[in-house]
Amino acid sequence: MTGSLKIGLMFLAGLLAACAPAALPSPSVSQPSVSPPSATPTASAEAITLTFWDLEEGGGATKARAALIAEFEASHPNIKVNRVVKSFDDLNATVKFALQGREAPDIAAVNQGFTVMGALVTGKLIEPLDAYATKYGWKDRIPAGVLSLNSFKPDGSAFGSGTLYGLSTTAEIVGIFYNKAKLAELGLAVPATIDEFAAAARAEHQRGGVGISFGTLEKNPAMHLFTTLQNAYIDSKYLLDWVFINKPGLTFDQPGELKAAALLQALAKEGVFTPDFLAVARDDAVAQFAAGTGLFLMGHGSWKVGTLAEKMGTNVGFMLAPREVKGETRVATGSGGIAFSIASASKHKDAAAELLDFLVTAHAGSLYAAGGDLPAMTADQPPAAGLFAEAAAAWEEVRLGNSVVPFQDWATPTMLETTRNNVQELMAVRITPAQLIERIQADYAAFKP
Amino acid sequence: MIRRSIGRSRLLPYLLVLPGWLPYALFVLVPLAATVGFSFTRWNGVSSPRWVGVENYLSLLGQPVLRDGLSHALLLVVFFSFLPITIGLLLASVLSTARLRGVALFQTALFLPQVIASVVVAMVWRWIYSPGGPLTVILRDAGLEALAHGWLGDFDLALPAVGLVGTWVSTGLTLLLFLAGIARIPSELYDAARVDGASAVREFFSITLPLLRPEIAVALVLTMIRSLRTFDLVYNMTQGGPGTATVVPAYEIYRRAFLTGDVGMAAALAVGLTAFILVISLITLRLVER
Repeated sequence: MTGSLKIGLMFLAGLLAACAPAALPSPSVSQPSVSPPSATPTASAEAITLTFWDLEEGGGATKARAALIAEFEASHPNIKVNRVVKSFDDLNATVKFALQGREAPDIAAVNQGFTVMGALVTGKLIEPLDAYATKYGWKDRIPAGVLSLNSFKPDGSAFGSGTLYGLSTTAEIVGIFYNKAKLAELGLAVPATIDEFAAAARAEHQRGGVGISFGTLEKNPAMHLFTTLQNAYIDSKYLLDWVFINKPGLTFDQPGELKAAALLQALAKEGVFTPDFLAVARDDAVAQFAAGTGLFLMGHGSWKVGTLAEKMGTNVGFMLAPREVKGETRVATGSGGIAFSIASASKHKDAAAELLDFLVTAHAGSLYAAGGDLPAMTADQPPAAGLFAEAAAAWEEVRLGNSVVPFQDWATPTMLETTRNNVQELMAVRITPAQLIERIQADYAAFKP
Repeated sequence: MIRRSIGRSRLLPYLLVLPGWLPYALFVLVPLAATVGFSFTRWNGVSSPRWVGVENYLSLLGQPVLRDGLSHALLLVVFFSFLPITIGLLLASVLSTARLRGVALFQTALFLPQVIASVVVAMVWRWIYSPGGPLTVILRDAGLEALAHGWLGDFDLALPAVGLVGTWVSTGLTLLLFLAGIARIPSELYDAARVDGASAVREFFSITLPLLRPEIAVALVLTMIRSLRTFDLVYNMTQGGPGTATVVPAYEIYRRAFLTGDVGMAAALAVGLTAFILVISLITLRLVER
């Protein structure tokens, strides 16, 4: 009797707990208050503490934001900012839950795309920013292309247009770094077509050096590498549609993608990349390139400008993947940097918006530029000469030419894993280029937003 | 008087257990039940969960990543469980019979990996396995060119590489268990065997092994559970890579719950893994404790 009573009680407890999902943290469905712009520029004089979740980008932008926040606190004595810095993986894993909790941050770094920002928009956990955009005039300072990446339809079904939900402080593009001295030694000019690029890498490999410095133990560089080569062949408009609009008929199976995959596999097979690149850590490849190994460095982008400029001085250059046809407008994978959003649960939305605005002023832009990052807004100081100027020029080219394409992993929640895993398999010559394309398209077709 | 003491003694045991049972129920049973509940829903971690019945379980059965993950975990069982137990048995019998000075030192050194945080273990071994790291250098100097590259980037060697780290970590535990077990065995048995002319090997198989059955059972269950549950080594060393070469069920659970926002599916996978581990443990116990 006692034994079965015990078991019965435990079973009951389990049953009751199983009903818990209904009672468990339901998202705070607060009415998205689009508060009318207040008459005075600063929030009321009460003492306010803002909690700010920042992203550790391992470069100048994080430090620049820290400096800007300090400046903001100095000029707004009634506002204190409690800044918490997290890594990219940590942020993505925790921000969704944090914004539902009682101690939700007022401002949080939110990754674009369906998985994080989309889920937060659907759950009404972040604040629509259109009214603030009008009040502060963000549309005049930040290019439409960057703003649109942080815009979602309010039901979370599509992004790339719609209501603004976040602000990026920096912009980033994926590209190729090159060692100027080695290029000169080979007697080559900066490659103007993709074939010239491949030839240069092969030439360096021929004479015993490393053609392309590359390490992908952490899997992300594999994806960046593929998208860089892809941009030499594809039409940017098709990729924009493919990522942002998920409807039948749009397919990854394009001749350009196949050519890119084939070139990548050929170069990997020939040994043009860092030996054992699947086991080389991402930052080790950067360090090796900075120390003089490798004609090109791939798998990275403008966010490495600060580090490389510091280590290599004038010996390093930045370029986008050249096209098949000389002179064609180049295409670059890029976006605004991580977006900063205001929590719907925040009790100090106006103050938060004030801080956000301060982070995207022209003055802020000059700090980002000084740290080696491309500002998302027009900065009030022209970029200095050198590596940063090259990156900034590349950014200008694709911005004005309207040929920025989004990061591929935004297409579906599983696209990041699918792309980077399969590019690794492609480079290890375990699957064919056709299979890579097929698997990416299969992931895409299986997704229902 | 007697009736009152009987009444008190009937309730008292439960009251004594309650302080221990309450946190257990709160931190283990409730989340477990909640996970089972989630496994029948589709949930992105933000909006309200949507009831879908057994759909998650059915779709899991058809996914290749489940088959791969499970086969990888089973290979890890060899490295995390069978190897450490074998090595532990051999080491324990040597250490307990040999007249070595500083046996305690050996025991401490061999047990040290158990004490180090797994993240630290992962970071150190990541360096050891890196191209240009100590292992590669040693292999190259030994003339084994074919193996002298970064093992964590090799589609065939990455999983064994992770496995060997587990062997290194778990051997200390099994050694400790078996040393304690051997200390339990009366030395008269060994003396009698020696008088009868038994060799050391004979002693091992006829006396040590059979009498260590309970310890072997404990070691098997502990190490098997640990190997099927492995997450931190994979997450910190390879993130399931290269490609999907080191994907294990626990990593898949993490990925779905936190990275792709498919909490219901992650819960279903977690429940499946738990059931699998339970069954394996029960079978193991039944086989060994006969």
